[in-house]
Amino acid sequence: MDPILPYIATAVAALGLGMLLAAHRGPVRMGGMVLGLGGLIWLFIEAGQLPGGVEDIASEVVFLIFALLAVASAVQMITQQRPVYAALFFVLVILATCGMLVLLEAFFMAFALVIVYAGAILITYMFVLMLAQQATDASHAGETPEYERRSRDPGNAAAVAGLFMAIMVAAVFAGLPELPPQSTAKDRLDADLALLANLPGDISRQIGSEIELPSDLASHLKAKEDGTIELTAVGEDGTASTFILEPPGNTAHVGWDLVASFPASLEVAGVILLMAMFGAVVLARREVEHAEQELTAATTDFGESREDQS
Amino acid sequence: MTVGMLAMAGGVSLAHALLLAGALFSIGIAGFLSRRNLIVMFLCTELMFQAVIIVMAAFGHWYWDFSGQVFIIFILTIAAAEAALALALVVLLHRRRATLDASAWRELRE
Repeated sequence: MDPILPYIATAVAALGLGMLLAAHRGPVRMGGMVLGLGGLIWLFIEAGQLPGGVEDIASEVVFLIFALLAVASAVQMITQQRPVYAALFFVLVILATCGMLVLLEAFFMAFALVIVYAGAILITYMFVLMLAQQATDASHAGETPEYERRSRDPGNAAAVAGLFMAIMVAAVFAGLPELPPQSTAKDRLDADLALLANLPGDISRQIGSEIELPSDLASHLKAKEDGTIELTAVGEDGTASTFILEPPGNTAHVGWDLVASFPASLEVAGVILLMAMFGAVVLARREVEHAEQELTAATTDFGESREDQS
Repeated sequence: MTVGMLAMAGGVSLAHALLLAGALFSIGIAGFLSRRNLIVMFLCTELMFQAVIIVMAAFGHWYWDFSGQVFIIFILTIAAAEAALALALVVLLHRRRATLDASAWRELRE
């Protein structure tokens, strides 16, 4: 494989991005779209020859759909004249990212991303956008302001983006062959076994609570050749019996890793959220100056209405 | 095709996931440098967060290590905290100058 080809593909994609940033419509934009997407697909084809490359055509096709959706909406987002549409295109980027997470078997994070990002964070952005838009529209009567219509320095921005992408391409193409080998099916089974040994409650729910579990669970759990997990337990009448156990899912793995490996970080994350909440309240608070008479009037009104009620 | 079948299909190659993340991050950089609307500039930083999320998930899947996904949870936390603070700052700036144009604050440079 010629090592210069990926960099040419990167340069083509960066040129396309620069054209997209420079022009909002017309043939330049069409050309930029073709160049950008073409360069990116070329890059993906080049990377398919790397070790650990294409294993399975079906999932690669699904990947390509999500990847092109993510990149196209991201470009739409940064070239959009109306910020509300930019936020909406960012929702599309998030949905494409969630598709990627599902392909990477991170199911819990895929759902969390939709709920937290698309549901909560983006709504906050939309609120602030519309709040600001309302005030701007009142003075300019529906016209998009000048700073939305023209990008600042599109050539330099695309050059910096292309440079970063070139560094990423260099790291991927030179570094991937040096990586330690990928996890095997046995590694995955071992991870399932290690987690199940820590979850006696989960096992009891699967095999029925009347069977008493052995105290050293880890030595009674065994992985069989066909990839299932087997538990040998002694029943109440003294006979040993074996059970086939369901392996723990993605959520169980992530949850266990979160509380068992990173308990302090979890606490710090909570403190950061609390501090951010205080900070946002303090920053966005508007100080209202009340004159002395207004305050007196307000208290007098309040007193009078109290008397009316009684 | 159901979600389970997709996951059974063998997953995505690491190189492709990393390159997609790099492309998203680069577009985020380009947007941050070229846009002049304060809120869209913050949206571009969120785009860069998305790229990092894909990298975390890809390496976590490659080594079957769930720490990658745990770090996505922390990234989400930081992104939420950042969005709250940044938007509060934007509201504050918008009240002072009644515009979202970043170059209205040009004199802060020196």
